[in-house]
Amino acid sequence: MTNFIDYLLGGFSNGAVIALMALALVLVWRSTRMVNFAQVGQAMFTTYVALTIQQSTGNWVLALLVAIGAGAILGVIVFFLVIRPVKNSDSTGAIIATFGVLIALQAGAGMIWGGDPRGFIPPVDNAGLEFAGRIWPISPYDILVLSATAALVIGLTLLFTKTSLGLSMRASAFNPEVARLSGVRVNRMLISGWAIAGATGAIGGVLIAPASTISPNSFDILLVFAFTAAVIGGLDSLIGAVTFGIGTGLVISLVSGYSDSGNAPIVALVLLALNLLLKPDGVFGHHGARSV
Amino acid sequence: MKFKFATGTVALGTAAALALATAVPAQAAEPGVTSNKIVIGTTTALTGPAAPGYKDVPAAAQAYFDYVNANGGINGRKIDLRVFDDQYNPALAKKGTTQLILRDKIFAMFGALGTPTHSAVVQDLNRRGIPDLFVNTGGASFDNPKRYPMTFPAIPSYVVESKVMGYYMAKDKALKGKKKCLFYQDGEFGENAKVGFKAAGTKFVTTTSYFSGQQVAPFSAQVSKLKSAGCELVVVFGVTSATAQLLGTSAKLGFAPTWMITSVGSDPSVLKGSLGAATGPLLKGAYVPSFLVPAQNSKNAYVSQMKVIAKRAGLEWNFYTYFGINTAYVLSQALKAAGKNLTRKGLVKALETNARDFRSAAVVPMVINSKSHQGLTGYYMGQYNANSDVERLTKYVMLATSSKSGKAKQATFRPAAPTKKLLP
Repeated sequence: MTNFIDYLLGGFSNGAVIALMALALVLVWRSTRMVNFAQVGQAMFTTYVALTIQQSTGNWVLALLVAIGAGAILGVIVFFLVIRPVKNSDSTGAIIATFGVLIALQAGAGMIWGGDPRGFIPPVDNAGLEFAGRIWPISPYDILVLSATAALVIGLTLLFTKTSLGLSMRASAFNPEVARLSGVRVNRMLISGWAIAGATGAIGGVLIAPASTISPNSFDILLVFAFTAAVIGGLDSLIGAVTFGIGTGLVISLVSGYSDSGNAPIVALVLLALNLLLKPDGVFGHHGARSV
Repeated sequence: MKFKFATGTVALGTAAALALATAVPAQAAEPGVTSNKIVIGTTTALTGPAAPGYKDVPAAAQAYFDYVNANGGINGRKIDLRVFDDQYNPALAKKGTTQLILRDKIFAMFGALGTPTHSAVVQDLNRRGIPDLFVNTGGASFDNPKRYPMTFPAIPSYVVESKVMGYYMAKDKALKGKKKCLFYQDGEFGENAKVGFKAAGTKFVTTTSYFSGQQVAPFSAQVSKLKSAGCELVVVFGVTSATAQLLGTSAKLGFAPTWMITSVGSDPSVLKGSLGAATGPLLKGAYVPSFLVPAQNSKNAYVSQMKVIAKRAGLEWNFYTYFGINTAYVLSQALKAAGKNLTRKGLVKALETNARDFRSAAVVPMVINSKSHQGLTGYYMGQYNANSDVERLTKYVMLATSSKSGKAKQATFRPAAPTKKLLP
């Protein structure tokens, strides 16, 4: 039983990070109706920026804030330089182009910071909490990550449902022509969507780094799991991305604990396939909201 | 009609004979060999997840070749090493190898890195008859002269390594009674280890694994499992980045068993990048098999000279540069032994007949003959000290083969002194 609880706790904190990346994917989907495979690359790049700030100033909060700013700016740059020119003529081409951006970012990070994995010092203690005579696989730092994820999803949900900015963003993504006729500045909304997604990914990168190491490719596997979570959650749903992001973390943890970890990616992909067969709009998706 | 057919045959035969006669001189000149140059190629990870550490290997080999070339080369020929960055990606390894063969027209492959990557090209290299020297992986499948007569591994296989670990754990008084557990990477790497431990008769209380890439997040489930099983000695068969995450997660969960880590998964210079100052205390006391003279043993004639070569080329002295220079040294001796009239067949023959006389910093015998391409045959047991240097624990070495059965055997081996000025 204690084993089961250990696996659950470990899965929760690992899943929170998958959830953050899935959130970023959903945000781009919401603003541009496309999947951004460069998301983990952008997050990796801004995490290196944060690492540089932290190493020179020793200030974690400053590092996080700079990463958020850099994430937003990088999102906008990617949108202007790559996505907008390509997407106008070919929307599938734009998705492929995001792979190109990913490779370019990885190569760029390798040139600037080198390929060796680097550690990131956590702002609060990362040792497991001692309780009832044993140490549990959840640390003060894990609690920080989980709270940040919860705060972010609540904040973003409010933004999209309660503010005119959020509603305009959704309208521009869903039907740019009608939105434009209704007086929404569609271009500005697309830019906002990419900026918010970039900033969210940046938070995810900075939060996972202390529990991991950063190298140009270290977040690659996250893309697979975040994408799975986002799709099962319905691609359009913030709460879906978070639920299934944490769910994916739990599946990996339980499979790794009770059987061979090699089965974990298989289980995740089987769940994705079942989901696409049985409920192709995603568990939290609205029917008819997507036309791909 | 019959007559006509016969003349046709004769004409054909003559043409074929003529073609053969003209083809002979072309064949005599081996690809990649001219009067003053030998072109060799390597595929390795200079970028990507496997690059840390390994990217230093070709640079170190190049440093040694520069040294040899500056001293007159090998039988009057200079070595020209072409490096292709495959990012540890089998598709890129395939592309790179084809490019090295067709565009660079290499004479031989040297030091290609990785089991999945090299598995993609090993058949093609053998089909074309290209010598495939010192493949840098412990994947046991490459020691198979019947299937791959041109292929020679650089390091003892993971089967050999796990047999050696099993032998030592059963023999050592401090380890014998401990509750033993296994942590491994899924795939051929971990499967090879399991074969060796089965042959050695090692019993594990529990085993747990990770998939390549999982080390991006803490190994909470795996460590919880090891901890609750009461493991006192954990054997680790994973890459260095996974070892870093395993040691980090274990520290987080207050789990501090005795570690025994594969020789390819514990490089301190890579661990320090991610674990920082915690590396020393976490790694201290960990057992690690090794086949080279300890790198910090500067009094050793191999270490001192190789260190100078690395330093002169501006390279850091670590396991990877040491290994790169040593492997290049062995290759140079093989090329020299193949003689002035250098051919691909001649190189393979030189390896199969002269390998035991080649000098190297390895402290285990090298076995290469027509029946076995094993190369280095075993390990001594080492242990990390407080400075994260490997100290040799056993005066003896433990030797084994990659076969599914048979345990490791204890032996003593005194390596011969290096050649003059470390030149082939």
